[in-house]
Amino acid sequence: MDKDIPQVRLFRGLVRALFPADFRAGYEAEMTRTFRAQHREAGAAGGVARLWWETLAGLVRTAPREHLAQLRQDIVYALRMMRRTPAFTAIAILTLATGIGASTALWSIVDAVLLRPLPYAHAESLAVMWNHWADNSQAGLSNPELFDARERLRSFEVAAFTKGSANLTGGGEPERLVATHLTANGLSVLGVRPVVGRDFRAEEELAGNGRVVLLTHGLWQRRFGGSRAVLGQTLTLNGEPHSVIGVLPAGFEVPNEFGALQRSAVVLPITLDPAAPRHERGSHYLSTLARLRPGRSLTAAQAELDLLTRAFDREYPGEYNAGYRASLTPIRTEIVGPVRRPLLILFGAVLLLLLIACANVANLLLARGAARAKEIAVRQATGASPARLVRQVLTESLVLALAAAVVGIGLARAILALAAAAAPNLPRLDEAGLDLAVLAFAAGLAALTALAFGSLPALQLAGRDTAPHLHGDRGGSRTALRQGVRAALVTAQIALALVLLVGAGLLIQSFARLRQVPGGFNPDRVLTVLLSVPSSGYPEREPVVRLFERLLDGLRASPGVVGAGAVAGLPLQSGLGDWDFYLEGEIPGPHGSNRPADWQVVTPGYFETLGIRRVRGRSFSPADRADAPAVAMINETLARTIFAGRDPVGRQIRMSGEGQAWRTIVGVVADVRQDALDAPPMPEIYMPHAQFLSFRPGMIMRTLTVVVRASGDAAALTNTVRQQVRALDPGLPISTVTTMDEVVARSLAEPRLHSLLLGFFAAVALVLAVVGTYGVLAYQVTERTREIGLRQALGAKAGDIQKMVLRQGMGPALAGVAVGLGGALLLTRLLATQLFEVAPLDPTTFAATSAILLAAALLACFLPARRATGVEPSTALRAG
Amino acid sequence: MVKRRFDPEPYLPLTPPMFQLLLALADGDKHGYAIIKEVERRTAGKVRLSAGTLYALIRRFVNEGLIVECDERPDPALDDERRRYYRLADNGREVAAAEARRMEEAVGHARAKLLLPKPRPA
Repeated sequence: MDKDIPQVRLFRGLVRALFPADFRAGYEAEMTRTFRAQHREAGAAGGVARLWWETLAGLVRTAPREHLAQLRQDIVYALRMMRRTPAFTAIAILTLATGIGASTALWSIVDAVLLRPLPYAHAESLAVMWNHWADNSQAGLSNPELFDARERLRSFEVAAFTKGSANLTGGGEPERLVATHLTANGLSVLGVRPVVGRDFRAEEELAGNGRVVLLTHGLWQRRFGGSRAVLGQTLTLNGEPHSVIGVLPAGFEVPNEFGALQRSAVVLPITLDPAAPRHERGSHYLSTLARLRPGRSLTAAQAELDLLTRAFDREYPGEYNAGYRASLTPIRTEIVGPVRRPLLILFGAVLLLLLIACANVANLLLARGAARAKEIAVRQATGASPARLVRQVLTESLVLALAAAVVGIGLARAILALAAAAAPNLPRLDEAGLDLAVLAFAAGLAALTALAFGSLPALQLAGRDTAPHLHGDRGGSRTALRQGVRAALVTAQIALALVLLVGAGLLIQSFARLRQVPGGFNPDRVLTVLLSVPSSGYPEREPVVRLFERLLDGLRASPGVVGAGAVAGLPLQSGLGDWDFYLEGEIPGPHGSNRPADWQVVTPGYFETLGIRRVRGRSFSPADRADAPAVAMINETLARTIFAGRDPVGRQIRMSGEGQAWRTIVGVVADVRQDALDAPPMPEIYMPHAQFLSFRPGMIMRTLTVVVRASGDAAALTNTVRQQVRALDPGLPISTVTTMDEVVARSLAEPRLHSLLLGFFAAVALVLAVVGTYGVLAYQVTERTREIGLRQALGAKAGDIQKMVLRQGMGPALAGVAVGLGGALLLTRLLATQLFEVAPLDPTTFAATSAILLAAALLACFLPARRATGVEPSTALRAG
Repeated sequence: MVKRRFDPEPYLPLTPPMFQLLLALADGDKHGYAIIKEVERRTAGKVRLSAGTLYALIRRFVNEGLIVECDERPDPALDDERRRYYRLADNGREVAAAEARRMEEAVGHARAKLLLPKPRPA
């Protein structure tokens, strides 16, 4: 035969590269011979180019079809195999579905919360500015600081906002709307434009010019039907007419609203006074945004900000303490920073669960592969190549994994619903869902999973010597290797399950301890309602104070009401910040005392209604009016830190700022966890609403949360409160109606969700690992039936057989616990910031979870061990 | 046992390469290169089968029982290389005939509509 010319070799190479092995086995030689003859004839006739063109077109057209035809065959075969073994198929699909479903759900959350772009243009150059003090507290900017920053900083443009409320009246039921007050450049700094109408103008920041309003998209749709005719309409907000100038795009949120239970419905221009004295710098109420100018980096901007804050310290001596600085935090870190680590930990946990599921199913497939040995041998003997069989096994794995992905999508949906219910204030969680990208992730994960658990059985097939199986011989020389692989998979499952169990155990303990933390109040049967009194109709302080007094008197006289009071900042919901104060004998200066305490404004009856224990002295009473001597109450922490050992009752304190009165301390109450259950109580000063004078001259405390304790169901008092308010003023809406139990539950939402999810994943991992251990050992007992029969025939007792089987099962389990402990020691450090009063290496948790896992593994080994002792020696020896 | 009657209808219509392959084998066994040459000659070059297209069709028709593989023997008209021959099976013959009848029926309709002239008597 002639040696092939290069063109024929090229053709043969293309056939080998493009066509599947099975096709080539039958037709490669024939195709090469035919092409050789064609090429010889074409060469003589000068048509080689045309021959190559037609040949290449033919190869490219037909090769993919051959692959698809084989894939179709493999899928049909796989489905037939799955139908023939329904129990195996169901177990494999459910096992994989838990891993794929949980991973898909967590991916959806991680994608929505951490990865998806924020709804601001060029969010990477947007930051939030904070003031920091020596005691590590942080606050926004004051009015003068904002003007200084705007005038003197070149690296970035500064905008500011505050959150408030607005009562919408006229044309329907009065409605209290959450409002954002924004500087005129706020939208441009955020990179957002109104979809209808215009933005604010600079002059609208000045007092008296700000009677304009931007509607959020949701309010525009809900209340105005999405009609453009709303432009130019007049809305009555807080009794004042405001002209609608525009509508914001859907999804607009100011940075502190991601995850907030209440998003703004309207945006109003903030009112600033550029002529205000620059030396009155203490009221840090402005949340601040910074947009880096083109070409400027965050590092350079921070350096410029550092220069400015040092200048503040020089220019206003005494106003800033030694530890004062200002910082720029990238907007993404600000919004999702606190939840990044816990989410990534949960995502890592579900990937561990998926690995356990893969190891479990790999073991099942290995066991099934051994059972199908004869079938595989027959197929090989009738012409199927090893490559073809490996491809078949991998296709079967892919079909299983895709079926599991479909089932897993249902589980993913349930996990997302659980997360939405359990932690509604997780930022951007409402954007998580099962969209096309997430479904594509699920499909891709299914493919990877198929490769992970299908590769071992495929390798088993590739290295198999099938000849002995044709004669019924089980090929004993490979048994030890098979058993070793299966034992290693059991060890891996146990190790991974232990890591998850330890993590879950730590989080569950932490959550349990958090729940035990006394909040300092009794939330049982307490209804809370927010009431905001507008300036129109109530321009002075007295009418506001009288309104609340009459409301509370009316409530106390209502049936079913045990007590009523009101507070400016409800515990676990909102604080008012801190305020410097002076002690008697000190002379108030222009720069404050540098001794801050948290502060609250309350009405008489508040402490009693919320069950806050009075420790010394008396509580506020209706006699503590504006024209009576000024009084205050303090908490135990303030009493201990400032008046250590001395009775604070009767002492005098004074808040810093002009016009503040010296107040006599009349009582001490127990500490209340105002910010969070895991935050220690801060020193607190309480002032009666009737005597409160704000640090901002002219500002009146118009918004209080009314607390009402019921004799029965708290929620049933909602109508009572509404009627009482309406009887006083029909134009006053109530809002944020909730029970104190719900407030407490919401404050625990995130730790509850984390411990719930990780606990669920750990429980599933435990079940999978135990079932996997049982399955492998049960199969091994079957494999060793003959050997067990022989041992019994030679005199081994039942106890000896049991011990032998238990050793075989518990060996990998003990190894798994050892490896798992090592893994847990390394990984639980990642949980440190999530734990409350529990150490990451808590020995009790490690010991208890190891014991649980070993006990479960022992139980899983017990049944096969018992079955082994039931083997009849004569039957076993004949069956071999 | 009653043998089920073979139904060629599910295979219709055939693509030109499919029909030409079956037609080429209608008058005797052939190897792949011979099939390619005959189809090219009979259709005056309008249907040209490449090696890839031909053998993909052959594999499909062998799997479906329309063609059977015969022995390997050298073709004295070519080089001395042993080549595999293919034979039209009974089912393949029925499929080819059914396709021819389908096309005949279509030609008849075209003639009735005067799209094609009537055949002249020989």
